[in-house]
Amino acid sequence: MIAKFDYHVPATLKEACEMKQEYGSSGVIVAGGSDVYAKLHDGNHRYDHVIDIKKIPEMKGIEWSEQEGLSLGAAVTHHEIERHPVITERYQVLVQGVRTVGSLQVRNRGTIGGNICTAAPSADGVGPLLVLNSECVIHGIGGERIVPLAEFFTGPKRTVLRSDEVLVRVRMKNPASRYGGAYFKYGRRNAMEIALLNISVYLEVDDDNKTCTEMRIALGTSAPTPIRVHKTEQYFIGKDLTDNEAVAKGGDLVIEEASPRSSWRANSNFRLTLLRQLVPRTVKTAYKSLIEE
Amino acid sequence: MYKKEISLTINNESYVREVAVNRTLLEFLREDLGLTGAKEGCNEGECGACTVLVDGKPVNSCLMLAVEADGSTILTIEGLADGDKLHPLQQAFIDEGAVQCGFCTPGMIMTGKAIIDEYGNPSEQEIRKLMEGNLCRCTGYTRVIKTVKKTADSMVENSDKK
Repeated sequence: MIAKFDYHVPATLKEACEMKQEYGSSGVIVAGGSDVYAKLHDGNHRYDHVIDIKKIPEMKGIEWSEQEGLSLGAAVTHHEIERHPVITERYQVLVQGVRTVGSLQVRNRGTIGGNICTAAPSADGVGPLLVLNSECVIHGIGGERIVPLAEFFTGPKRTVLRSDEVLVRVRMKNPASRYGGAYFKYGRRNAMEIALLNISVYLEVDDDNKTCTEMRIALGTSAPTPIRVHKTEQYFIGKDLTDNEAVAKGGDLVIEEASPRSSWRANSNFRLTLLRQLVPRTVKTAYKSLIEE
Repeated sequence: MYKKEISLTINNESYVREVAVNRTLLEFLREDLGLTGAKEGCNEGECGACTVLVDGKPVNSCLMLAVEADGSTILTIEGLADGDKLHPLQQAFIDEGAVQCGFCTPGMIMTGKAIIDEYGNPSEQEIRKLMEGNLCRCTGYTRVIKTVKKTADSMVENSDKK
């Protein structure tokens, strides 16, 4: 049984921000509830106020246009994303990530905004959004501000959101018409798994079909927050992606930028060993997806 | 507000009830309405034994509040048969012996039905992926997956004939 709380359903962003401000740490913002209600079931956590933001119009729906790109409401579910025709066609790397979240049942409730705001280092939806250069639309009592997703996380389960602020949407420009994308999740089993490690890659190549012109790599559970590894990305620019040795060297570089911790699930050295092997492999998968399309 | 009135449709019947806001949909179904088909396994969204369909979508009813179901249409295992006639997937689970202790079965069948409804005739591999949130601790998944696949095949075949 979940401990008693007061349940609030704000109809507007203004109301939601005011409630969040008023209730502070005794309140919690909930969308799909797949993290929050699971946590409340364990008996060790409780909140006096649950603020359910699912009815707020600005937080709903998937919008897409050729000019503006993609905009996901914070309350959009993972399953809505994985079934959306434009996203499945043009944002494959995002689909690859979100479809590994929990289970179908969890993806039908859990939202992309929740995946971001829970701020777990392992979030499956976040890496793909990072390599798509997403930005967050944040609303507070004073108005709106835009923060790049790469600057959104400040620590494990910590974000830049202020006491009166909520995430409204996450948006990104269209990827290049030709790009390679791949999401790799390392876990001990296929189903219902939290990533021991995850890697997202977005890359573009020159007209010769092998010289890398753009490389974006995001890592999950490899640092206190999901991160981009800019030095490794920079290394790849100008490299021939069919050159196995050159690609493998990216794995040696990436471990300089990662700082995974040891946890009961895996120790730090194991995670570094995985990164050295799996980053080059994921780059190759992304490259292959571009060449074979 | 600790209590709230909700109105919803469950297995084709309308209900108007007052519920405590911290009551999960699973507790509401089982304890308030006596619909004990959906089971409480892990109570944290891992096992899928509590799966019911909300507006056609499979969800873990242990991770959803009853008040969140206000205005929606819910189908539980109790509402799946048409009178005495079992749903093809229920019948197939019996015929194929896809049941052992039976605790996970209501959740398995509800997810299986939702997958067939949404995807038509998914491949065996797709079924495996889509049913990853229903755990069986007796025997495994081979018969369950085969049974869902077989039922999907025959339902598609039957609808083609019509």
